[in-house]
Amino acid sequence: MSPVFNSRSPRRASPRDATAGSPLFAASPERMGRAHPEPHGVRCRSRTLGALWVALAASCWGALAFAGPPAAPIAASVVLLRGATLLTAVSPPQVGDLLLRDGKIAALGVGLAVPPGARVIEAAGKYVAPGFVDTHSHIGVYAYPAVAAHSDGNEMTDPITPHVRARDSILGSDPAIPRAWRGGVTTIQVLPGSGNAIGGESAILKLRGGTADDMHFEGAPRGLKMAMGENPKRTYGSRNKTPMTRMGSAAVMREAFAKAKAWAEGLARWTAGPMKDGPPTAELRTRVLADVLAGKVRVHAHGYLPHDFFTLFRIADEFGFRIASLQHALEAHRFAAEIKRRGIGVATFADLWGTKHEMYGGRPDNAALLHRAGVRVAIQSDHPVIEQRWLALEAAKASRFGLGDDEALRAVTLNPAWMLGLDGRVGSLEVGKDADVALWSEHPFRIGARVLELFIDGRSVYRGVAPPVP
Amino acid sequence: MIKELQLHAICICALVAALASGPARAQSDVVALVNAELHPVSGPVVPRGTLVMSGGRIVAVGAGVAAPAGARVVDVAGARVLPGFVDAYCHLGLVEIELSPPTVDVHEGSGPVQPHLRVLDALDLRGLSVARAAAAGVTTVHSVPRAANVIGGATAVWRARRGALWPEVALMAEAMMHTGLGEPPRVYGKKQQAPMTRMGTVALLREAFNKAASLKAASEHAQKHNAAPPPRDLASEALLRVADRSMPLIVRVERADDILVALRVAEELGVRLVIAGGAEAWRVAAALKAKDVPVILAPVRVAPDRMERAGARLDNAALLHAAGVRIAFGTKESAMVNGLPYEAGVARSRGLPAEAALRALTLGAAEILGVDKEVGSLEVGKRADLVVVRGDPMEPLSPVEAVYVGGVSVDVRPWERP
Repeated sequence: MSPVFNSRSPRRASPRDATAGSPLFAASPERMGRAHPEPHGVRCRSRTLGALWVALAASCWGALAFAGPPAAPIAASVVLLRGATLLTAVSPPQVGDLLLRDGKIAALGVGLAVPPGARVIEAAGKYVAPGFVDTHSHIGVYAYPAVAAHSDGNEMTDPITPHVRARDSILGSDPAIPRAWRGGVTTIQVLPGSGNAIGGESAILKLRGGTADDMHFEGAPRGLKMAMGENPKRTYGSRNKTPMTRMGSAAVMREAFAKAKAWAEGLARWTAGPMKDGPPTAELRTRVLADVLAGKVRVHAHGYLPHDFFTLFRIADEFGFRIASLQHALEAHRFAAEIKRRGIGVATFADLWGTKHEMYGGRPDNAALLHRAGVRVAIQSDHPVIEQRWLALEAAKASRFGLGDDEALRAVTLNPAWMLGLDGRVGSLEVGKDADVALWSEHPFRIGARVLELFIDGRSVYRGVAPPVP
Repeated sequence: MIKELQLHAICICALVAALASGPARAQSDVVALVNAELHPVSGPVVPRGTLVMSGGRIVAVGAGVAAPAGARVVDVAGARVLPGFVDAYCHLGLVEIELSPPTVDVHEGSGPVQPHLRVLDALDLRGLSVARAAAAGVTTVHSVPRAANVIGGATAVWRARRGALWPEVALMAEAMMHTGLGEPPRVYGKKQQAPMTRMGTVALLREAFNKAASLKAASEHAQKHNAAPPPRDLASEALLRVADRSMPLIVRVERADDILVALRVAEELGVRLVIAGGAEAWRVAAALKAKDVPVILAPVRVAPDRMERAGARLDNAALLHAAGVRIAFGTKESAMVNGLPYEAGVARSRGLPAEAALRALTLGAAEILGVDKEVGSLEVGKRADLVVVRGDPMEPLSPVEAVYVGGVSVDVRPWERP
């Protein structure tokens, strides 16, 4: 084993600790996933059952999202990638070996012994990178080809739809998925669209292929899409409905959160009180927002302009919820200090700008300026806006405009994983993490770089063809 | 009303900014770039050379060239100097902010057959998008209308300098007659109008040319018999310039069999043909070669987002080039024209030889557009439109250090002073 790898601190504290210590994000959805959900609306006759109901009421909407069998056990396979340049995302690039075992990264080092039965891949001259992570994708909810039959990303019948879940729309056979493998992408957050002020719950997928359930990232925290600015007001304003303005959007959001807060408080009073009547009832949408207020759902907020995000902050402060990430946020560099103070991440485009008024101030060094100000940044695709498979090209552009290669790599690996609450699982080459790894023909920021093989949970999901030697 | 005022305010701001950042002429307009790795495209690479510009043109270029006395000397320290890139198919100047109607003039959706339209009459050169295209080294653009009209009007070729007036940057006022086949024109079908189908689309195209030919015959007949000429028809007049081969027909088309339709119709009408889009052109490369029809790949990185693009491949450019088909690249963008060099890079990474990729990005495109006497290579007498880049110009990691349009350095970080 290389002393270089051994002496390196096995875990960097900062990224993980930022969420691990937070009571807001401490709830374990994995546990919730194992709880048996009660059918909604059951009247609780006994005090024991009532207490159980209360315990479940707070969590069962998460349980519904994560119910289902635990992930199938990973086939015990051992793969040794030998002599590649390892882009770990937590240390400078180094030549070494990487051992994948039982779906996890088992070792990194130089001259690792070949375990019995291991498949050895000679990777000298090649690059190994963590599977890329994207906080903002619409794979499966806007599947290829973009025909009406595949338009399942925006439930634009009501500006407040927290109760819809991207998972229920996903077309697992979207051709974008095998294409994304060619770009080394392994984990994505599929968000509902931004036509609604509150658009619904996200689905976090490992791109294993198969159905949405096959690809479900077991244990991933729940995420909620919110949208500030032009989109919701354009969607409803054009129909002469609320919201027609930004103030209308803020009002419908506040109204929804006020209702959720009142319900949660009523439930708490009922729990503490004599419980003569049944518990206060609420619609699904209200229960989801109550989970947001209880810190069980991470908020990912779409928007572009500073004043829209200050509106979001006002609402978040009024009702007491935290925000995990600002999405797009092309002018976030203008209020980086406030973002940093709040501990929020920013997932932005590398250089996409100008499509709408609110995108006109975009600049390609937004990510670099944010990073310099101490904000964690991710580069996003917003697939199909930018096709998922080209995420590395986007990161390369961000690198060139000041982010630098190391940070640009983190912007498509560890940083988005952190925004999703998954940096303990994916996003870097570290012992104990999921074996989501891409073998690249050259540095992934080179335009001709090809994925030669892609592993998810240690299993080979894709093998590419090496490009001809020029 | 408020919205309208806001838009006006933004337009006025943009105008003021454009005027403020207008061309600042240097005292001496003679500029010499020294220590340059010159990539003339029309000739071999010069590892260490000098390029001299004056009066907006290249006046000297090569290894043994000395900077003239009084010239402003710029030491580029070994950076590559290349001709400005050519976006052979885009909407620059026709769309500034896609979702803001006052800034969008790209589709005259009032009818499917409008050959009398001219892109030139809509071009707005003040936009930040123009500056951002130039900042990425894209100095020549071919602006086209959207493909949702069967015949969308005459396209324009110009040099991307923000805030310039049209005569200063014009290369071709009426370059090609734009036609859309395949999926987009069928949008009229939703309104119960023709065309609703591909056959309806092609019928409208042929009918327009038929009308033009009939008018020509009537006009000739009247002349011969000293009768009153038929009333003027601007649409037919425009199409007659296509029919007499003075202006090519550019057909935006993706599916292989739609490309064959374009070839068949072009043969029938006897017109010069250019294919744009061409997602499945690789499937009919031999037919394209046989008719010497060039293809503008717009873009290279095509997703299977439409049925007509299901057969798209990243090695499309390589396959076409290998078959002997002339190619160029287009972005089909306005705000994102800056991505053009990466399209060439992707084509190269999928088998297109490096020299062919660079040629398609510059001189090859200029030839297809018919502006190669003015731009596309580093040659004496051509426009001083060039890019100074550190490293491989088709790689996203390579910084563009300077861009000259007409011998004047343009801002390579325009987003800092929008």
